[in-house]
Amino acid sequence: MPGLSARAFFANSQEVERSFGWLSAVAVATLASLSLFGWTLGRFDAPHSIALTTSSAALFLVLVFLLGRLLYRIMAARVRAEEALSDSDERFRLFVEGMHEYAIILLDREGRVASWNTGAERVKGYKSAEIVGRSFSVFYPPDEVAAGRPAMELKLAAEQGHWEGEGWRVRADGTRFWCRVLITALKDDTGRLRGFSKLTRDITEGKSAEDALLKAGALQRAIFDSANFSSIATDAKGIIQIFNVGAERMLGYTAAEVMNQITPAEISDPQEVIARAQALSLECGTEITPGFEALVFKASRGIEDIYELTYVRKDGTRFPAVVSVTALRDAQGSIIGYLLIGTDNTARKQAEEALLKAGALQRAIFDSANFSSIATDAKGIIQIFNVGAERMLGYTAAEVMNQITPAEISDPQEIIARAAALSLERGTTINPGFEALVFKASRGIEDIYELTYVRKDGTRFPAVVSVTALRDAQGSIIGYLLIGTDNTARKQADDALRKNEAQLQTIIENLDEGVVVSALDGKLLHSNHAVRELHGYVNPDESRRHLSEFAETFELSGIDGTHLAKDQWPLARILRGERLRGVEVRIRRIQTDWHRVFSYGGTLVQDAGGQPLMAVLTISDITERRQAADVIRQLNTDLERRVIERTTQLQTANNELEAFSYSVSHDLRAPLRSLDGFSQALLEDYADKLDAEGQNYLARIRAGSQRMGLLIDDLLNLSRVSRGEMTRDLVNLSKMANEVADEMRASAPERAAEFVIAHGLVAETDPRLLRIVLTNLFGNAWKFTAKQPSARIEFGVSDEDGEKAYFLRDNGAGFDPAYSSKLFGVFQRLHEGVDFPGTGIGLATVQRIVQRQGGRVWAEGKVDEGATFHFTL
Amino acid sequence: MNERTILLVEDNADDELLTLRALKKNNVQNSLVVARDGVQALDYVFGTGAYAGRDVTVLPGLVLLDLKLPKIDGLEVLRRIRADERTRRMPVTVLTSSKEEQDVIKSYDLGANSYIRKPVDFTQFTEAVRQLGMYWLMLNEVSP
Repeated sequence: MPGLSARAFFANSQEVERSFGWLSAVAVATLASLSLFGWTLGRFDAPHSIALTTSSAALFLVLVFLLGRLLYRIMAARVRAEEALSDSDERFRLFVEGMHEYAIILLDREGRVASWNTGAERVKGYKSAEIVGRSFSVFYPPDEVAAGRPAMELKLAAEQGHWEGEGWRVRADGTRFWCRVLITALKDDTGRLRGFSKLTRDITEGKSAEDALLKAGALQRAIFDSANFSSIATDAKGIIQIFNVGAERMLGYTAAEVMNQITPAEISDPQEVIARAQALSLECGTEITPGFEALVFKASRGIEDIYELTYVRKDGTRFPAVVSVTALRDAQGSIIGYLLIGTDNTARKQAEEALLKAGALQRAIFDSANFSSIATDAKGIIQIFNVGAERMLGYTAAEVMNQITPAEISDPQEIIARAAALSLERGTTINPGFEALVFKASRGIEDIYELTYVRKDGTRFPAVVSVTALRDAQGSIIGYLLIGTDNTARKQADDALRKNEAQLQTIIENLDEGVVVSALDGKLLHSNHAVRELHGYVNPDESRRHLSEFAETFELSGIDGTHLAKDQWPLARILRGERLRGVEVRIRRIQTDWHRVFSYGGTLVQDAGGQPLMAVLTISDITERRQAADVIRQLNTDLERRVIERTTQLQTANNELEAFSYSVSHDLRAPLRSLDGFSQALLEDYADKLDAEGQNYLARIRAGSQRMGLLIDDLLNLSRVSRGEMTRDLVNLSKMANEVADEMRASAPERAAEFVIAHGLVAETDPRLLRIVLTNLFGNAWKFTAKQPSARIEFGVSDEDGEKAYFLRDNGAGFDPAYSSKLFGVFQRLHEGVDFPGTGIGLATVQRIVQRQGGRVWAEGKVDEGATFHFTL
Repeated sequence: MNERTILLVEDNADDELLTLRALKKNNVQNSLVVARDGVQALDYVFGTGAYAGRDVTVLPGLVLLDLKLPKIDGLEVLRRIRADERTRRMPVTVLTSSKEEQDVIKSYDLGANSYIRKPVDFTQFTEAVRQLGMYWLMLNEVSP
């Protein structure tokens, strides 16, 4: 507690003891606050903390004592207050004036400066005359004034009795200083606010000490002394001032060789320095000389700068480094030098992997938004939290520094799991906390792992974290550096890839088709479940052998049975570059009766550059298909043969029928003509020799002959409509019906008959056959209406369940519906030939024609109530 | 009626007799030559075989040709008659039992002048023959 010892305070309180009035009370309260305040400050001053604690306790007791006495005095000696006022004012003034370390200011209720001590003058740089009466907000930086901080702090002090805090303040000359402030509300005995006391102490040095502790402290030294980092500090002009062991190791110079001699530009690739200078000149719009300036220009402008640089070793060899440049400033912010921290990118154990990783790392570092750097002390408390970390995690550095460990921004479950796994692996209990994150690094094991970070807003993201232990010169761990990259994209890509692979794997494994993957030398790498099933493997290992070993178990032959040498096997052909598809092969297990027919396909798989990587062979069992195909082929052959046979038979039958009809047509009627003709000759030439009975017999012979002639004609007709070719034309049925009706009328002009024929009936049909239909039906109607005094015959169309049905209705003799099914049979007659002559073939012919056209015909009727014939086409 | 000969090509003796009777009943008195098969018919027309030496410039005024004939059938006879320049325009009437469509079509295709189907009813048959004789032997002007 610099400048205020317990003894001195006590001496001051002796003075106060003799004083009266509220100003005295203010002084005591101020001093008490001051002592507490000093104790608070002591937190930053570790070596004094014990002494401080002791003195603070003493002070506190004294304070309580004094306050008690003061209250007594105030109450008892109130009357004397007025007269003692001037005296005590003066004493207080002197006391306050003596406090050089503190700015002790009295403010009125509105925050205007009411009194000003020499401490205030010293701390803030205003003379009393300059400042009294002005608002205390002038001490605040403009942005804080704009944010209403001064007024808010007064309000809080008024409400709570006091307000305490740290912050930047501005001196009269505009410079800033970091200070600790205590504002106490001053109230009179009625509780009315009279004003405030404001106590300010410049703790910039304390703050600087704190920074220095961090910056130049053990942590910094650890980085400095780390053999993995080259740390080069220069003066403002670039002359190397510090050259750490890492730099010595990496660059091959001893510190003595470079210190005060050269700048880092001289150990950098000259071309790169020139290129960098040019690029920066362009970027910043000002001429940058290609030398040290080019290396630190951005840092000198306060811009975070991390870049790749090729360092040149003493022996002339080169190595790529990632260099982070920081400007070193004094308390006034003036640049006094630069710190260049470099890591050697080549110094990796596995060159290839390291190169890839280093590439990614470099890019990540370059784009600091993708790169979080968190440094902790040995216990894990975060000491450094870079811009990348701020961006990724959503915390500001101030929120986490000195507050939490990285474990607190990591997924708790993962830490528990990691601790458990590590405990098991290392055979020792690892606590699920920060220890779990750095345990391996703490044991000197390079550790890069995946971790889910939790952002301030609670959202998560996967990161790849590289952990390095930071050690002091003695090798003791003084902290850890956790470098993290946001792994979301890669994680998603990995997940997608893994999911794809898993899906593909599942699909392949569940295919019915066998899939074999083979190396280019014929070694089988993978085969799916179907392959094992298809080959009847008992032992899964059987499917993982070399192609050549299959020849010991299997024998392959073509579909035609020709033996296939090993070099003609499907896989062998694929390996030679053939692309196979549907190659059918008979496969047999040697010395067993197991044999199948397989269909093989496949091709070589090539990389993007067209280089073959492996062969893929697909196998499907087509034994059954093959057998089925054989059967079908046989059936088809049989069927074809049978069709030909049947067709021939049919043709023969048709020809026979044709010949028969022809023969009937020609030969059967000739004898009838003889019968009829000669009967007639007898009647004509020998009528005188025949009595009436004889003539009657001859007449009967003639009638019989003629009737048989009709029968033959009708049968031939029927046969003809069944055999003849059919055409399909658009036929005007109305017109045709009228023509047929005219024929009827012409055959018996004496008959009173009315034809009612619908107009516009058109159908697509065979005109010749349809005419036979109409002639038969009209003829039928004409015949059965012969005994009607006035016959009526109607032809039209009706709708029968959505189908056009033509009808022919007459008012003739009709028929007994019981026999309607017999109407259309050949030689079926429902009437006596005497009443209505006919052969009984006409309706059969109608039915044959209609059915041939895909239609149907039916009849309705009752005896003596006419008949209606319907037909569709 | 005139002197033009009728060539009746008919293998059926009954039909021959009935045809003669019908002609007679219709007072057709032209000379009548009967050929009982296709060969005889062609021999008569072209003056070959049994009719070698016949003056073939004298063509029958009418040929009544049955289709179904022994040896050479009626359609072939018709084809040969029409194929020969001398007989190309000679009137040939097919007189047969059949009215099979193919017969009718082929007959006309080969150049038959007319196609008559012999009715079973002799009365009708007589009427047909009457009209035939009337038309071809009396009304029809033969090609010069």
